[in-house]
Amino acid sequence: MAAEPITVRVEYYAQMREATRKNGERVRALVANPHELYEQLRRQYDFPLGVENLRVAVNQEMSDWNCALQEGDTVAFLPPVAGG
Amino acid sequence: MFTLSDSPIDAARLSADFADQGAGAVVFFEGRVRNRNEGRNVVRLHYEGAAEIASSEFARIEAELRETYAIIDVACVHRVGTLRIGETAVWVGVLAGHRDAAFAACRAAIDEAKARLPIWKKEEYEDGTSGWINHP
Repeated sequence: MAAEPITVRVEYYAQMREATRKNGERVRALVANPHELYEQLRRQYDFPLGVENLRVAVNQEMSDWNCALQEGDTVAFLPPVAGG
Repeated sequence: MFTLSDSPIDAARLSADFADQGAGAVVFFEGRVRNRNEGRNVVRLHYEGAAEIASSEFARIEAELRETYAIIDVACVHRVGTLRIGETAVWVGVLAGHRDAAFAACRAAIDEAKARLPIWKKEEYEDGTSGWINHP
């Protein structure tokens, strides 16, 4: 658990956008990594997917669930992709 | 180089503009919207994408392809928005000195793009229902 709350920008796409009815939002939370952020937001929203079915991007790069989040980061929770 | 396009993909123009004097082999792949998926009649598709994440991830794919295959360049354009049957959803082009690398890299490029780029597809069916498609 992080010592101080941080403010991050969260982006929602596809099923996640429909579940939150938002393209994104600013979130202030006491979280150390995207996994903790996701579990915290999950208490607020009825997300259709768990972390095992999602990938995460931090600051527009594919990242991992346990990377350290910092003040001002942008986090996107990505549902299973279906391009092409 | 990757582009997310909210206007129709003009494959002929993309193909004409994608050139290099050292490229003896040029392979293009075009993915189009088909009228059936998993036994259901599809009337249209909606694609959305995360443009910046897709660009950074395609840059990684491109770097991997350059390590594996002797290619000169690779490019990918993916459409977003509402598409009808027959419209082009994705275009991939590869320039290489020779055909073996061009074919192999083009196949790898579309496979990796489909598996990794943050792009989502919602299908609308003839019966009025719709659903997000999740590739395994």
